[in-house]
Amino acid sequence: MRRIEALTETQIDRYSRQILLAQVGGTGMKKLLGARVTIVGAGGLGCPAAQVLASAGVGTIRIIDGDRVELSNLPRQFLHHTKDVGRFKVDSIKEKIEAMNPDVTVEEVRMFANQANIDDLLAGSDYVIEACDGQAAKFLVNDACIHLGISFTIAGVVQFYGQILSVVPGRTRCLRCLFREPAPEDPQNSCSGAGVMGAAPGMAGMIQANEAIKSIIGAGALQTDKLLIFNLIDCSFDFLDIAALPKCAACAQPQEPFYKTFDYGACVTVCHLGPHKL
Amino acid sequence: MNITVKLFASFRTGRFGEKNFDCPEACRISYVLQELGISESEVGVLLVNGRHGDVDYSLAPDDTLSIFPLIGGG
Repeated sequence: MRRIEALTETQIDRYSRQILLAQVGGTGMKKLLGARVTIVGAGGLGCPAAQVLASAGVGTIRIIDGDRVELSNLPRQFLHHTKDVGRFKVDSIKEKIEAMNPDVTVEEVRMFANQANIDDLLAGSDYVIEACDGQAAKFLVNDACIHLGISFTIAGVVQFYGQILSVVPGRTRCLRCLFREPAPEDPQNSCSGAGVMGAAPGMAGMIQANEAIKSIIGAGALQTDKLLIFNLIDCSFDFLDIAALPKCAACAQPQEPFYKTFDYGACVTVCHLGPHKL
Repeated sequence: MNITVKLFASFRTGRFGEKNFDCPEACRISYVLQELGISESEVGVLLVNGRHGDVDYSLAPDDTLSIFPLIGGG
């Protein structure tokens, strides 16, 4: 994390409502400005996450996605506008964030994360937000972050439903402790196949960003060891305890980068682009 | 015999959240999934009375079976 010596007068004014919070203060604000958060995915989860992080003054946001904006993305991918259709999503987000907050540097990466490049893409991150579309990619981010020792939050959404889990490597249970392995990709379990209401990824992405902020400033409790499951069609929130799994493929031997050779299945679904090989 | 089935997230669509379910004695979880029209590949986690179960687990009277998907979209 980059060390910030002092806040400017403009920063004290801009972030005054956050600095007022006992959990933030001047010290927490300097931590946020010195932090780098990586968001893997610039779609339904990535947009609200980036918006919250940038507004809050997280100093460096790395955003990774090789996809381009489509018209059907706009109802839920809030940082992309009609004029952005056809552009790389990361370029669209970079433009909006730079207009929103000059304190934030955006490191845009116009490629998809895969087994070969994931280490380089996550290097130097203080926190990772997994915002991919597809189970295999969620497991890849889970596995790589545990090996690299980077705390992260995973989310998944479809229709009005969502799931959220934060993981602190070496201390808390992970996606594999609960789900073991990715299931075969199912179009009915994707936003393009089953549909999605924008509030679902909006809420999940904002919670992911808040988890990153809490981790950086060292405040509160992360959503660890329990999977948060929300259902916005009946406004229900459930928590699923995650039992310890001593032989978890990711947690049992975190020093082994098994994700380099693990078979994540044939593909990860990328909305409307067809299969994208991991 | 009677068990309680709880469904979560997208599994509730067109089904229910919680329901008493009548099934044969010692039936396996796979039977319940089939009756509900949920394919095994869709299932993320199965819990029986709060503990992990698998599709071959034989249910007992008054068990509570909770069925969760792994939501993959983003």
